[in-house]
Amino acid sequence: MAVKSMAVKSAGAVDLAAAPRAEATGHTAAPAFRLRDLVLEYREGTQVVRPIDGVDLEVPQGEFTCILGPSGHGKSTLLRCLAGLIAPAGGTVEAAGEQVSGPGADRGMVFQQDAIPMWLRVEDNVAFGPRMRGVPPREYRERVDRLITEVGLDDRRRAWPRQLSGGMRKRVAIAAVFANDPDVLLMDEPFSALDFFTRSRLQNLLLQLWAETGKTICFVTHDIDEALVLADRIVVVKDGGIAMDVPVAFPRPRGEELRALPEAQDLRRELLDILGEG
Amino acid sequence: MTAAVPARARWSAWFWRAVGVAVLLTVWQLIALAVYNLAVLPAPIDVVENLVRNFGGSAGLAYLGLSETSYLGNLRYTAGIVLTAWLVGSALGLSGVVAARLQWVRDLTDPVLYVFGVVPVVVAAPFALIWFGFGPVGQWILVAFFSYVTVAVASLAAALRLAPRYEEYAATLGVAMAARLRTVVLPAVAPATSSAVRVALGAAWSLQVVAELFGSETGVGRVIAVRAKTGDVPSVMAVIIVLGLVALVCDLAVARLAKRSGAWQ
Repeated sequence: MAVKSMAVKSAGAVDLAAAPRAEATGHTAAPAFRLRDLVLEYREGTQVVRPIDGVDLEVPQGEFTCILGPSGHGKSTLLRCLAGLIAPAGGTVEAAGEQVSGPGADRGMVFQQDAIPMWLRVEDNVAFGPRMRGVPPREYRERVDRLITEVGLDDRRRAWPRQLSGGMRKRVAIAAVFANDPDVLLMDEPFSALDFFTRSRLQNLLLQLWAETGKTICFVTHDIDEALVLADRIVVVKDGGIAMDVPVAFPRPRGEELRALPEAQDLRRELLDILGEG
Repeated sequence: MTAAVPARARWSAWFWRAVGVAVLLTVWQLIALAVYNLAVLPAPIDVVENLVRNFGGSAGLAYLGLSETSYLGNLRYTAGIVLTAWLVGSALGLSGVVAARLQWVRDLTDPVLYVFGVVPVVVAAPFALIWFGFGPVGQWILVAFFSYVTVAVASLAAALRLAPRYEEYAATLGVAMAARLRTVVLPAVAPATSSAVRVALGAAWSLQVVAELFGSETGVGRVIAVRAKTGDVPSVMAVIIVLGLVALVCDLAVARLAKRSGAWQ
């Protein structure tokens, strides 16, 4: 009960104790995202579906936000809107104070299904973003090499993606997005198809890269445990709106001991109740 | 050990191909001996002898009024039109990728692709030659146009099949649309498109020879037409075989390039 009263608060009042601080990472004061009365629609045959209807949300810079929700309730649609891949039917979306009008290098995205170019070898995949944007190689070569090492693919640099396991391909995708040095990472259930151990390893890798870079991360998942391990804040998207917006201030690193923490158990139960309602 | 297996397989493949050719030549020779009539079925050696005799120059072709009087010259003419028209037509056919992404380009090209794409070549060829003439220009346009249609239909279909997430991913990395077409869509559709390019090349040889049969003054098709009229079967077979060999070499070269473009698969 104590957790509930602490947890549900407005977006602006989120506790960022566990997040890389904005001032420490050199970010400006403008939030990474500001959503005002956001409405998202898409057509399904002759019907217009409105998965997001009148959402207000602010995501501070440097925060690790998990967007949690049942399948088909608009969390991926919301993320695609933040990426600029779909335009709002109503309301506004701002990224770092600028109106979002389309996709851009400031908002990198890791997709649920493999989206890395299968016709590029690992090292070319990781360097793809900066190379295509015309960044001189001397400015990204070292970062690309370091990221390939950090994601543990040093010995697979010249491999084609088809020669890698699903977990390895996700590591390529994560390295590629970090190599492009965006302000924000948008991740759409990136680990949902992986086994438990691979998923745990990738969660740790992601947290390590996040701690090093202090980037803002918006991570869509339907897995409560994954959200509890990763997030500074959990936003539950359900029935077109935000059903819950809760800070997660448990100490990091969050291993198996998190399960034994009474506050974590309470929050887990509360999230389960909300997700299971209706 | 692992490297030895592919080498062995390669040698094995070549060995069986050679056996296939040897069997064909033997059967041909035996049938020719049985028939024993040069005007019906010459033996392989007769065809080779004809090829060697006429390759650099042929008094018979000069007498029959061809402007090119050697097999080589006529082959050069046919191959020149086929390869340049196929190359230009196929390159233009890659615009199917653009049509897949820009609706107005698709609206513009769809009627051409789908109307002419289904018209049989033997029906379209005479019309094209009437419009553009029976000379090299008409032939070149005919081959280029059908190469364009073949490759455009394939590249359009392959680009439409490509999952949007690859381009979306590139867009979120800041890659502009033109660069996405070049670095995402084109490489992704390359394997499917290169198959169509090979099909277009094969069709281009047939189409050009058919166009030459209709009334060209030069070319392999013309040689076949005039030699067939005089009942010179060894000449007809020699020209057909040498044309087939040139087409085979070209196809192998294109197949090699196609294999490289699909190495990632």
